[in-house]
This record gives sequence, C-alpha cells and structure tokens, in this order.
Amino acid sequence: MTEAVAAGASAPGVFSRKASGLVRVGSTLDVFIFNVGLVSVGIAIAYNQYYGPSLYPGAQPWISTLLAALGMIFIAAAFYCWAVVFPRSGGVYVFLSRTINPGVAFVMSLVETIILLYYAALAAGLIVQVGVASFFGAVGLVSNNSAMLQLGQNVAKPEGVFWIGALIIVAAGALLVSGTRRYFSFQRVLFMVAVAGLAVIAGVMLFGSRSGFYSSLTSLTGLHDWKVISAATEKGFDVAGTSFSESWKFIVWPLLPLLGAVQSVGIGGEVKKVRRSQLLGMLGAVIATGIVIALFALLANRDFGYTFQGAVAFNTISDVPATTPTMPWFAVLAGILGHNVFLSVVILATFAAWIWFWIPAELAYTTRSMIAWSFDRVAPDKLGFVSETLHTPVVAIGVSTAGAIVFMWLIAFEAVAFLTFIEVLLVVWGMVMVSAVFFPLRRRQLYESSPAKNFKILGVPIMPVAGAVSAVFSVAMIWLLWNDPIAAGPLFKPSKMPVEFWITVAAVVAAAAWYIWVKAYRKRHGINISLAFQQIPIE
Amino acid sequence: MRSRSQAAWEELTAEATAIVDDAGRHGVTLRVMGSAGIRLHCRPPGRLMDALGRPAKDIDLVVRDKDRKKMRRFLEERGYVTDRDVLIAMEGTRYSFTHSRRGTQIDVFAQRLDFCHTIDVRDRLRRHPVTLPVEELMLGKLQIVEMTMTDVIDVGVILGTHRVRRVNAQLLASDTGPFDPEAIDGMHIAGLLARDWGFHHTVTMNLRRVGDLVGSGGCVDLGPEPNVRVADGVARLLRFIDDVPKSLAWRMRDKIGERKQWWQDVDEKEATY
Repeated sequence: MTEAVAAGASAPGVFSRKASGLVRVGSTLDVFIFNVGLVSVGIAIAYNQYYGPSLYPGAQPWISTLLAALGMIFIAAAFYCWAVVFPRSGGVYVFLSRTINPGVAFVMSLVETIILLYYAALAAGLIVQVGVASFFGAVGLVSNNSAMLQLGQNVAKPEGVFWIGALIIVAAGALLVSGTRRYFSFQRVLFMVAVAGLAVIAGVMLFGSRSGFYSSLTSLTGLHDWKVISAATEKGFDVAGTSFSESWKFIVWPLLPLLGAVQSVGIGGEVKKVRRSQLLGMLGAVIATGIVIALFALLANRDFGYTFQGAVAFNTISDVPATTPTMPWFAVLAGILGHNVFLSVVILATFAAWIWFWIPAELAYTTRSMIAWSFDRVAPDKLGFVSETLHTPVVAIGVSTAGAIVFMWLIAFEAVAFLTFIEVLLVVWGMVMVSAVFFPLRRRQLYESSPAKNFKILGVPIMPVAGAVSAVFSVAMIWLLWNDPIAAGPLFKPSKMPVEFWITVAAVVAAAAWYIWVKAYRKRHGINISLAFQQIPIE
Repeated sequence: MRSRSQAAWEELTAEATAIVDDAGRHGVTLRVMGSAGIRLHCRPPGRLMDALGRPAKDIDLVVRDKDRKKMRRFLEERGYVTDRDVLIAMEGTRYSFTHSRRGTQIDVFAQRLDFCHTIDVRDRLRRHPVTLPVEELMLGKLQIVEMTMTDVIDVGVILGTHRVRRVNAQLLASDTGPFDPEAIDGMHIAGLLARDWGFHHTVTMNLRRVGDLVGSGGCVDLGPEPNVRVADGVARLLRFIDDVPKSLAWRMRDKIGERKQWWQDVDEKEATY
C-alpha cells in the first residue's frame, strides 16, 4: 500500500475546489419572484389606471410604463454590475461603503431603510384599501349585499387601514422569522397563484367588451358611463386625446413599482450562481413586468374606455357622487366586468396577493442592511443576533417590522404623501449610479479583478455607461416628482415643510451622528471599523 | 519519520475524536464525516491517504437537529468561535467554527448533507461510535458533480479497503465469508439512489470516473491489491444500483434525462454579508 501514488490535480473530468462549498438559499427563480413581487403588478396596474386617466389628461399609462421600464433597464444594468462585483447581502450599503465612504454609505443606507419600511407599510395599506375594502365592495356590489358594501367602506377608514395593515406587516415579519427557505417557498406558491389569477383577469378582459362592461355597470350600480363622464367634465375633468408630454409626466407613477425590480441586490449573498440569477432576476423582472403592466393598461382602455376610467376616478377624488360605491380601482372595474361573484373574488384576491409581495421583500431587504451594519460593527452586535431556536436574525426582523408599523400609523392617520420619498430614494440610488461611473477609475484594481470588467457592448464597458445613463434618468425623475404636486411635489417647501422632509433630515442627522460616535467608541475599544471596508471582493 | 501532512492529519483526527467523545458525555450526538471521517473510520484508508499525500483540511461534523443549541455552546466552550456569517446565511442547517488559537476549522451539518444532492443521515448517526457509516462517508464524496482529485482519492481508498456486499438478508452467491461490519452495504446505497434520479446519475457517473482514474495506469495508483478491489467494488456497486427497482418519480425524471439540471448549485463558501 505504501506504493500508492497520485498524479496532480488535473485529469479528465476532475475539477479543482478551494473548500467545501455552500448551497445558498435563493435560486434564479426565487430572485426573479423577489423582484417581480417587489414590482407588484397589482400596485402598478391599480395606480396606473386610477391616477393616469383621471389626473393627467391624455397620459397613456402603457406608454409611461414602457418609458419607465426603459429607464429601469439602465438602473438594473448598473445594479447588476454592482451585484457581481460585491455578491453580498446589504444592498447599497455594501457598494457605497467599499467604494465611496463608510460614513456616507451608512447614512444613505439608513435613509434607504426608512424609505423602504415606509413602502412596506404603504403596501400593507394598499392591501386594505385596494384588496380588502375593494374585495368587500366589489363582491357586495356583484352579489347585491349591502352589509358587505358597508364593510368595504368601514375597512377603508383610518382605523381599519392601521389595524389590518399592522396585522399584515406582522404576518410578513413572522414569515421571515420562520426562515428564508420557507419565505422563498411561500413566495413561489403565492407567485404561481398570483400569475394564475392574473391569467384569469386577462381572460375576463380579453373575452369582455366595453358594451358588456357598461351594461354590467348600469345593472350593478345604476351608473351610466355617459353620466359619469358628463358629471366629471362639469367638475373640470379634461377629456383629452393621447398626449406624449402627459405620458412622460405620468412616468413617475409606474416608476414607483418598477423600482422594485432591482432590489435583489439586497440579498446578493444568499443567491446561487449570482451572475445568472441576478441578470435574469433583475432584467427579467423589469422587462416581464413592464410588458404585463402595459398590456393591462391597453386591455383596460379597450374594456372600460380611457375616458370613463379617468372620469370615474376623477369623480371619486373630487367627491362627485357619480362614481362606484367603493373606490374605482382597476380590480373593482374588472369585478364589474366579470359580473360574477366567483370571478370578483379571484380578481380581488389576485390583486391582494400581488401587493403582498412587497411587504416581506422590503422587510427582508432592510433586515439585510441592518445585519450588514452589524457585521461591520457600525451598528450594535445585537442587531445581527440569531435566535438559537428559530435560527433567524429575529432582532433585525423585529426592528424592521416595528418600523413599518410606525409608518402604517403615519399613513393611516397622517396621510403621508405617496411619492415624495421616491425623490429621496432616487438621490440614494443616484449616488450608487454615480459611483458606478467612477468605480473603474477610483478602485481600478477592484474593478479589473471583477467580472464586471468583461461586461461590454461593442467594446463599451457597461458599468460606467449604465451608471451615467441611470444617474441622468434619476435626476430627470426627481425633477418630474419635484414639479408634480399630484404625485409628490417638492421635498423642501419653505412655507410648510412636509413630514417626509423632517423624517429625511432626522434620519441623515441621526445616522451621521451615530456613525461618528460609533467609530470613536470602537476605536476606544481597539477596533478600527475602517478595516472592514478594505476587504477585497470575492470574485 | 512522520511527514508534515501526517502530523496535521493526526492532530485533526485526534481533535475530531476528542470532540465526538466529549460531546457524547455532554449529551450531544456528533459524528465525523468528510475526509477526517474516512480516515477515522478505519486505519488502512489513512495510510493510503498519507501515501497519496492527501492534505488535511478541516473537520466536518454532523449533529442532530435537537442538539444544535447544545452543540454550539459545547464548541464555543472548547475555544471555537462561531462564524456569524454562516450562522445567519444557513439558518441552522449548517454551522462553521474556527478555533481562536489553533485556527482549526470545523463545519457542522444538521442531520443532512446538503450539497449537489441531499443526504439525510438522521437515522444513521448512531451506527458508528465516531463517524458516519462508511456508505454515507462515500456518498458524501460521490454526490459531488465536479469531483476533485482529493475526492477521487477518498472514494478510491474507501473502495480499496472495504468490500462491497449486499449485507442485507439476501446474499449474493459471491458474498461468502463471515458478516463484516466494515463492508459497504450496497443495497442501502442502491435503495437511496432508486428514489432520486439526479442523485443516481451523479453517483453512477462518479463511480465510473473513479473506476477509470484509479488503477496502475490511472491518475491514482493505490497498489496492485487495492486497485483490483476498487475495480471490483465499482462493478459490484453499479450492479446493485442497476438491479434495484426504481420509484415512479425516478422513472419519470429519467425520461427528461440530462436536458434538465439534475443537481443543485453549490457556490464557493464566501462571505454572505
């Protein structure tokens, strides 16, 4: 036996490996679902068809959606490059801390976390308003049940929105506490259900007709389409033909959900085969959801009529009585078109399912940021505490859940504006985009040793170009939001500063002060936290 | 005179044995797997591994789900520091530790070995006092889609030092001699693979690869006698595997074949955060 000999490591069919590997949790499909869920086709269609035709005369949501998707392709390309340079969980914090400045990264990441928690709460509120309230409203309407109609109206009140919304957020937090594997499995099942539901809605709309819709509308609500439209025009509703300038202005609405298509950067360390998964997950989500949302806008125009959609929503917003008993969200109109209790249930449940995706995904993203801070010793170690019983980071998940519930309260009782925070989010992400432009110059060695170096189209490196285009796109979107009082309006308004402004300022000041203090504190204990940021990336 | 590799192995296996023994006294069931497990299972493979220059790497252990909390405390008391990154990323399915002074690395798997294929060992943990049973030790290597030379050596030395037998009630005509607890239970392996086409495909592919690479003219030469035993073991094991009736799921998956990926992706063990 002592004569035994082995040749070198190379032989046909024999590979080399540094150490035992690791099976990461997220597959390509999971990443795709994570991003598509964060886009939330339900929220996108609901917002598009409610606010577009009513408040942006001539704006065609399908055009705005495709324009927003085009811009998002560049953002996705830049984020994809970051995701392969730093295949880690923690999102923008990881990218900025290792390339710009750890303090700036922490401030930006904290601001981003607060905004994303706000949107998790917003989604929970939307489930109550667009999902639960519309569910009772539409089913009550179709089944001629006044008690359900009343319930739908009661649920949409602030107390209903807060308590049901908070319960939904807690459920999402509990799902994450049960483990990422279970979360992904749950999302996979729900995704199949949501896609099937969407197919049913598409079928209802494809086989439905405008005359059939108007006939159902009259029999179920007593409303006539022309009366709805004339009541709206009397109050100032503008009946306009397709306008590209209004469609461009309206782009900020479909942009809000589409921003979710790149958020798998936050779970980059938990993804198998990161290059393939993030590429298909991000770009696939932007393209697939962009097309689906645009198609539904076209179907809505065909079945409900563009002018009618605008008029009925305008009447609700302007307190004109000629409207549906519950808010005329797309799902309610589709329920009327279906004119069938079962179809109404399917339609409303599908919308609620689509909106749900936002909540655990946003909590998961913010949780990862918190853990990354904790690992870098920028935040207390406790934030990364893992329960010995549940094996999950319960403290970070608990903090995220609690934060979202606080925002739920603000949304329900203080009516915090919808899209103003997007301005701030675009500033944070815009900084990541600008960093992508300068990354190959500032951290040449890091860039040269990363796969992103090889990403080129016709010899042009993708990372800096996508970063530059995305940065310009972000500035354009901020400008549109700033000058659009319907969607957001200016973040700084000297006459009366909005709540979002004070939240943002408080977050920036608190994060900066915290970082300065924690750096000094760690130094006193012999820990130089800057060392964590000098790590060389993995690939 | 002992080589540096031998000394490293001795240190590693001594530590692994001590951990398993001590853990047992603390009510924690731990078993050694991986190369250290193969080396500990019986001595001849160890000698072969030394002769082949198989380097010592780390200690891989398996723990029962219900012992995970106690296991963590036990290892931390012995001076091992938990890798928080793996702790969060693997959510209780796997742990990683590094000794604060010696730098010894330990990976602990909870009840199943989750790599290219999943091997559930919960009912097999107590079959051997220190390591996993030899079948699981070998399957742990054979489930790797991209086998390295050290994996080939590990499988080669197991087959070169253990006879493949049916072991279960029905003996083949060729299964002569007394009962051998160290024999590889061919029916156990064949039974596992009959339920999972992907696992079957990888293992049979790798067995043939080992058969090709081990031998006097191959990349790994174990010596005349063990080389024959490896060739015989591969042939017998493949026969057992072929003979066992396959499940319906296996047969349905067989129709798709290699057109669909049959293993789960394993990434490098790098930082998650």
